[in-house]
Amino acid sequence: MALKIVKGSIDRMFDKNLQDLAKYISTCIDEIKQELKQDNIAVKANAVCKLTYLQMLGYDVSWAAFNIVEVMSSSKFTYKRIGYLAASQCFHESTDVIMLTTNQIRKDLSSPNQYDTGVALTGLSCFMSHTKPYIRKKAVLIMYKVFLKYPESLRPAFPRLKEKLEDPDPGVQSAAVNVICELARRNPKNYLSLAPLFFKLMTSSTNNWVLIKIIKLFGALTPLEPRLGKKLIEPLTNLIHSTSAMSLLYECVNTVIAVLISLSSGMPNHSASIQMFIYWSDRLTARFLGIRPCDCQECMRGIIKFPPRLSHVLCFHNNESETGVERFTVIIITAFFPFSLLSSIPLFLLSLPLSVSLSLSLSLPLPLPLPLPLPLPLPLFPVPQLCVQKLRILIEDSDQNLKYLGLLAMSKILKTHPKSVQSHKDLILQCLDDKDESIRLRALDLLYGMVSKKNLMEIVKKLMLHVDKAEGTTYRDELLTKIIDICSQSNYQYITNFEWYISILVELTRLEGTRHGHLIASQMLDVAIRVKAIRVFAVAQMATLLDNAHLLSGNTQRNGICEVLYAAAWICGEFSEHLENPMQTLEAMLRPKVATLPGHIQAVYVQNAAKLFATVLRSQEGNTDRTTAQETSQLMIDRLPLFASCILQLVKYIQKLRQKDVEVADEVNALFAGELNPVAPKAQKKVPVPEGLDLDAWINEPPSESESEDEKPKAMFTREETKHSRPRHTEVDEKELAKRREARKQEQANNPFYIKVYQEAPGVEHIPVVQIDLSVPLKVPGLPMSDQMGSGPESEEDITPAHMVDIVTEEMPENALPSDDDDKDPNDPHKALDIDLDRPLADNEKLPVRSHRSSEALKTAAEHVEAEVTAAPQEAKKKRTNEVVAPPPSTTAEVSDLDFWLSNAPVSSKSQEAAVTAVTAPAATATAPPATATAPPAVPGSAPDSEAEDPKEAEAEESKSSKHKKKKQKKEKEEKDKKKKKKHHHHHRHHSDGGGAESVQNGTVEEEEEPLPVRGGGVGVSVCVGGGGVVGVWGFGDDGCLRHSHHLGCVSNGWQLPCGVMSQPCQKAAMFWANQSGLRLAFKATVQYLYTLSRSQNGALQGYHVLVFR
Amino acid sequence: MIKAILIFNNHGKPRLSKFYEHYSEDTEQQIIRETFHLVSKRDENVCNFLEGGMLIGGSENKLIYRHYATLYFVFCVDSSESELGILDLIQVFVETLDKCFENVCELDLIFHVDKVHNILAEMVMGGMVLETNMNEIITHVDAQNKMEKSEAGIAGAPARAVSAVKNMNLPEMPRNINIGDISIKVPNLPSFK
Repeated sequence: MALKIVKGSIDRMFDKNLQDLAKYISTCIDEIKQELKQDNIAVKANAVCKLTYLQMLGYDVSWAAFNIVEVMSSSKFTYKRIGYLAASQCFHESTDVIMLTTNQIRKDLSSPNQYDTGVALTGLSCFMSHTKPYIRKKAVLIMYKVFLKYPESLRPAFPRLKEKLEDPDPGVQSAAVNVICELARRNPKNYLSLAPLFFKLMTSSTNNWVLIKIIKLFGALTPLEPRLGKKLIEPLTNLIHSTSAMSLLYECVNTVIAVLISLSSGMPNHSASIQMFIYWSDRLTARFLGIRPCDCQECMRGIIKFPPRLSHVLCFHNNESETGVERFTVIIITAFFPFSLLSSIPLFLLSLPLSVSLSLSLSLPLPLPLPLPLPLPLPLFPVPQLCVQKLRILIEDSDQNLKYLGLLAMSKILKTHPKSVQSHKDLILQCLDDKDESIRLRALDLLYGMVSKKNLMEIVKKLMLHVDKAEGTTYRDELLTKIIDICSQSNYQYITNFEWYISILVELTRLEGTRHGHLIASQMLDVAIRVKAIRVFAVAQMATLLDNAHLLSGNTQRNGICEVLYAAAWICGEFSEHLENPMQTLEAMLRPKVATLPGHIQAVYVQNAAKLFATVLRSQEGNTDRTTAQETSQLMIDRLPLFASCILQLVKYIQKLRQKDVEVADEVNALFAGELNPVAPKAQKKVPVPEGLDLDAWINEPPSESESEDEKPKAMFTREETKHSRPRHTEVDEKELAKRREARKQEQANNPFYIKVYQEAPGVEHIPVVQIDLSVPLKVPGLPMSDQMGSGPESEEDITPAHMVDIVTEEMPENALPSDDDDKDPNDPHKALDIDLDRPLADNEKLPVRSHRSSEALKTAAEHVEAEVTAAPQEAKKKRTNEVVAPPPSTTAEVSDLDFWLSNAPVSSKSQEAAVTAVTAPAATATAPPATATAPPAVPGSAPDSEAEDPKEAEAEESKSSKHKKKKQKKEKEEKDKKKKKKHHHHHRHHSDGGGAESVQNGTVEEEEEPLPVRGGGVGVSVCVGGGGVVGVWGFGDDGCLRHSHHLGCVSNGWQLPCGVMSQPCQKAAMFWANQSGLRLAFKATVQYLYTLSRSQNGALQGYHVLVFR
Repeated sequence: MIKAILIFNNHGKPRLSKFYEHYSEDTEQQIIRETFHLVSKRDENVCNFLEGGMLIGGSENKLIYRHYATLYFVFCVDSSESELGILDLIQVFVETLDKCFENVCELDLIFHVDKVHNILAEMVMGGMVLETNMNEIITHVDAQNKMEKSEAGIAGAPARAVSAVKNMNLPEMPRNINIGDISIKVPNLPSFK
């Protein structure tokens, strides 16, 4: 029976004529309730499954929460899964069965079946070393949610999370990358130290999703560490070449842009980044256009092989009479504008001494590319501008998605380099006409950053046209807010003519059905208050607006635009002295229709009607003919009852006084005396709390506990008592209050923390306000047209703005704190996750270590070694120079590790070679001056630990070859011999104190200082870990080569051997150090490596000792 | 992070909704409606991205969608996700559905909404992408289905009966309703390896 209903329900759901769907579903739910009462778990599960579907349709199913838990607890996976699905769809923090659920989850987590566990998994970090990758993967992902809920867990769990970046299973790796990227996005600086790890992943991973995530992360990291950008060149270029996925390609480009921007803003010497850029940009463009760059040697230097359809481009390469620059430029041109070659070239010709006959060369057949020098003598364009050029191609693409993304990327450049984007105004404005709303919105975003004093009017005029054309209200509202944003940005910086702006605002009020009425209103108020010179104009406009109020308030309830009447009434009232005809305005404000306006607007009407009344009175004061004043009073008395306001009494009283010929105008005006100044946002917040002020302290005697608790109900019935007590209390204090008031005033006067708002009131004149030169007569009959105002923007553009208006700055309390912390949302869960992850863990933060973990830790450690291996050759060189010039710094190991990693030239020796050849190549063609040659792109940025190092010196040293090296090594050896004995002593000391983390650190620093002792023909290094054993023993020859390795079964100094799991990687590491970097470095690196290992393993390795023996 | 995954048809009827943040049922429905209104009014040949509706975070979030036959697949994501990456992910999702259901169509999503959820759970968990490799996803889905089958002894009979009845009556369905071309055509698009 139930089954029939299931079937029928779906049948009917498709029936569009079904009127009583709700009724039908309620019967359905009744059925489900019946089913849930049955004992058969299968029926129950089926009912829960149906509930899940209903939940999607918007029905509340929380009443079945207990049944869901029941189904979750079924031993059958089939039902369990249904239960979990239902729970995940409708349970949340405040569900009352959440305790039951957590228990169930805990039970299922320990289930032997991987899918049972998988389905239940909600994440406990202890599960991260589960043997099944399927579970590890899920556990890692869930960590993020745990961190969000419980930020304290981040620090203890982070080392393990980090381990998972090197998990053998790609799925787990990807999950870890996902989580760390998500964490790092909010607080990137805390994750800088992971850069080497991610870098390794980026070069090794083949999973596009992971690559995208990593590349996005690097995009966020490069602004923090410009040196990172250089490291990224090689792998990014490789990816751009090799990937077939557009998504990955686009993210690469995005990061390239971030890198280039960080380089161009961070480096004084642009030429290197320019070279890099040109090298890249061609590749990027080529990839986007579907041109396959070739892999030959020449390509490394900046030449792209074009497919036949673009073969004409290559003819330039063959033209040997051309200089390198020109040839190169042509490549750029063609890369930029392959399909519109001829039309676009003039643009570039302007900036180039290009004497190439295009027509001739176009007809040439396809030749072979010639090698071309990479470094250019001069940058053709600033880097960001080139980026924008590239993006232009995207935006002009027919693929709408690329267009959108191009605009998106451009807005990123806009933030740092608005100038370079501004030149593409035409393109952006063109995008405003796009049929796609998403693209139009992106274009609007860009416009915001592109305005200047010169083009503001023009842009807004265009936007106003779009406002008229726009069909959808959402897009129109968006336009409206953008217009206002654009105009008001950075304190009306770009507005030269405020009359124009007021007209625009007034024009915007004609939009029907917008919900941004309050926005326009606040702009009107802001401008009228702060720009004094505009008040006459504004008041006139507002008066017209009030007069035509009936146009605006057609459908008051749903129409947001009537908000502007609020502003109009206030401006007319406040600055009524500028009104031409206050009577008329007053009349407009007191029309019966006003009663249909929202309450707060009516209130403003009444108050400002009173202000206008005062103005009229004053203007009529000296006048013998009293009819006008009389009429005004009468009007007020007639109309005010509409609002039920106390002003009516006031007016009646005034009328009485006036009948007795009493001059009251001054008194009435005094009611509204004083200038109202604009106050900066957050001004109140920024006033520091005076010392000693406790807002929570009682001013009077606090009421006794008993009174508040027990006597309250009593008081309800004995009102007499309370009535008596209150007045008595105040009576007593009456005189004292006056005294206190005096004292307080005195104190306020002396207290520097008190905001003296009214002090400046009489002296407003000192605010510098340049009067508008009104030599140009203003046309203000009826509603103004901004088109008229903006007419002939061409003529106005070139003139320095005639209507120079100084803006009254917002008032700020003198003592305001400059802090802007309050911009951050205190509820942002990510704020709590801003945790320094590099700090070593305190004892109480360490996670309990499970026995089987250690083996895995060691495994990942092995990979760690390999990561560092790549950095070794550079270290060798650097240390050599360092020894001579400067002593090693005493920074912490982590920081110096990162610095060290970053300060290296791109890892692959191939690229280095390319750079070197690039430097030497110009010598042959003799176009590049030597100045640029000394700064090839690959020269490492000055790292803190090599400040004393001069690039030239470094190069010189390199060139002096091994002769020099040998000398130095000899010298070192002598030193080593001298200090040998002392060294031994040191080690023994460390040995004996058991090796806590503290001694480890000291040890590291010391080791760096001391050369390695050598005895006879070689040296041995043994490394002991923890309180336990020797991990490995290696023998090195004098030449630094590994002569002997023994990682198992060798006992030295009585230390026991552990199982030997670490032996393989350690041996590898030692071999590497020995081969690559010389003995000393091997020693030091091993020490350093173990040190980091000991820190990252949560005490799995509590210390280490390095023994040196023969 | 992915905030929500919504599938609805051309009429705005939800076919699958997965929110990775808690909303009340009412809000969820409003979000679905709002999203449908935003997405459905767009032409076929415009871009696949738009700003999120007011209810789901406004311009901080993006809606990334694909339209297949009668269904809209909409992912609501924040700025940490790659736009084109998510488009590829949708493609992977649909291709996986296509493989699991053999020519997936809207009816599959209606009758087997739990299965669709299970497949999705293998791809996205808690708003983060768990797996993008289609083979890996299918392996795990199949393994779990196998488990279900092995469990379905006598106790599983009612459940099997339900699906049997459902399937029995399936051919009748198109007579009553005009669904048109219901099967989702999965175009060949570049996606994750």
